[in-house]
Amino acid sequence: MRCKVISTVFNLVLISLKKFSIISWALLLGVPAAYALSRFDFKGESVINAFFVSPILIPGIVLGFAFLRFIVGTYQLPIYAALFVGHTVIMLPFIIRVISSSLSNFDFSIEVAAESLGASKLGTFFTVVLPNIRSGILAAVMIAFLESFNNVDISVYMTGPGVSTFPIQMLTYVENYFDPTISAISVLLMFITAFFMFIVERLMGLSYFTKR
Amino acid sequence: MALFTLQDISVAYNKQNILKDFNLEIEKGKLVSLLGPSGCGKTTTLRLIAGVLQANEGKFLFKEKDYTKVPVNKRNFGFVFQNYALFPHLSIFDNIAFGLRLRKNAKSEIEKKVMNVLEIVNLKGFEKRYPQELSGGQKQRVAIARALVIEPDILLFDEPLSNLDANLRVNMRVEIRRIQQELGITTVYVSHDQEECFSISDQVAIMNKGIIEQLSDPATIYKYPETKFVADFIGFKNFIDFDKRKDHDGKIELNKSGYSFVLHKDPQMSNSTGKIGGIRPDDLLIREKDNKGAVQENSLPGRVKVSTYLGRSYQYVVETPIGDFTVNKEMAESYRTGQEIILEIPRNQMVLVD
Repeated sequence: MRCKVISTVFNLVLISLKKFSIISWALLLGVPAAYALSRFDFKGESVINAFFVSPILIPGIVLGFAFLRFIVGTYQLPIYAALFVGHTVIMLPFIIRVISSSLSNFDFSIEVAAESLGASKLGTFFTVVLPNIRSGILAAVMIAFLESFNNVDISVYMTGPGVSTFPIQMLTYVENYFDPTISAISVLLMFITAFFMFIVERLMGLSYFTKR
Repeated sequence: MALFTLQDISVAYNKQNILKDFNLEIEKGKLVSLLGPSGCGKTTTLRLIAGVLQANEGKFLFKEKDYTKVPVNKRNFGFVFQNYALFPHLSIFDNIAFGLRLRKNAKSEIEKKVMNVLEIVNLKGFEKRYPQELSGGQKQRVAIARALVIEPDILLFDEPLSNLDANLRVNMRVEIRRIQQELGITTVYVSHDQEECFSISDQVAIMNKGIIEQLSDPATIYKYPETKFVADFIGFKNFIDFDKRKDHDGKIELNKSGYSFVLHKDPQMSNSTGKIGGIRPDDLLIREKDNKGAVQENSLPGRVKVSTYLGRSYQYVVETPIGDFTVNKEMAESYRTGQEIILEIPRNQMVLVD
């Protein structure tokens, strides 16, 4: 019993760490994509935009099955890699949306200003663009984390023997045991979420999520 | 000698020519403005000089070196934007120091230069504030300071005052002129505000549809416009398309539908073939119709069609046999709508353009 709880909590920490590595990967993809979509006008922009948002529109069960069938099945991905790919895909729409909206308030003429003062294009991105969308990136990380953390429908296809995600662990536990452990963990989760939101509120205000 | 030259520049966007075979030479230490209605290519020209935009054809020479392909960040030109474009995440000090840090200046050096330039733009004591805590005029001063501190070879202004209110605009343009003259820095200034350009420039280039219609000092342009567009742009609102022009010693005879006019021949007026006469509403004389019957020299019979009140004066639209004229006349006398009057064109107040 006690051992189960400890291992669950341990899993939580471990998965959080893994989750953040996925999030950083998703940021590496999402930030440039959001930047390109906001900064430039090009042919097929709306198509690409729609493509990035599509994971939200497709039912999770369908998406998960498609991943299992065409990516995991075809390429024989190990479980971790499969989880990595799947979660990147479901995080990307949120990351791109949130960062795009913070870039839409960004005045790109300050890029030209930086360049006219001698900054290179890449240098401008790091010294001028990134610091100004910092709060957007933070918000994107939070939302991506919660989205990925709560996800059951895709993870359930990706997980396998010995590897699981926290919500699936909880699901299995409820199916097999009937005791207050799940209630306790749920309360813990609520505290964690509240703590997260408290940090977000301190950093940039919760209105950030509602006003855009 | 010219500091920089634009040579046969063409810029097209979506297959539409914005600039075509465009040439411009600017001398060191001068303040040259590009003036024209929106869409005339003035901002394009400025962005081309800055290096933000690449020309499809032509060359940009700076100190006789080919700068056409040199990127923005290697040009060392200062750029001041209409919307200030300050870095919102940096303090005023860091905003101004941005260019110096990229140039690897020593810390003490940076501090000295920033403080010095803050003094030039009258913003001492603001270095710890952030852009959002400043008013529009102060932001624009910071933007100027930021562009000045890198000791640029050319300073470029893109409608820097159009976001400020009227009073501040007048103060700021005096300020810009003062700084420019104090430092002797070559400056290109883009605006659509005629008064602004004329008041601060050494030379004004009036642009229309991607070409320079006239490039000259403000007084010359004001008095001797060379084309109808320039004349219209600087306030010659009345035009007469004459049938005949005959030049004599010291005077020019003109004829339109039987009405003849005589002008003094001004040796400075370069246009020797133009048959379109332009005159400002302020320069036309208007008087009550006298019953003598005979039409005097340079006069036209007319009837007041519309009368509007401008505060200092009245403005009349007068209907005459050769077209409508707009006339401004001081308050002292006023005319009723429909009243018969005489319009007189003074001998030395009309310009002839193509």
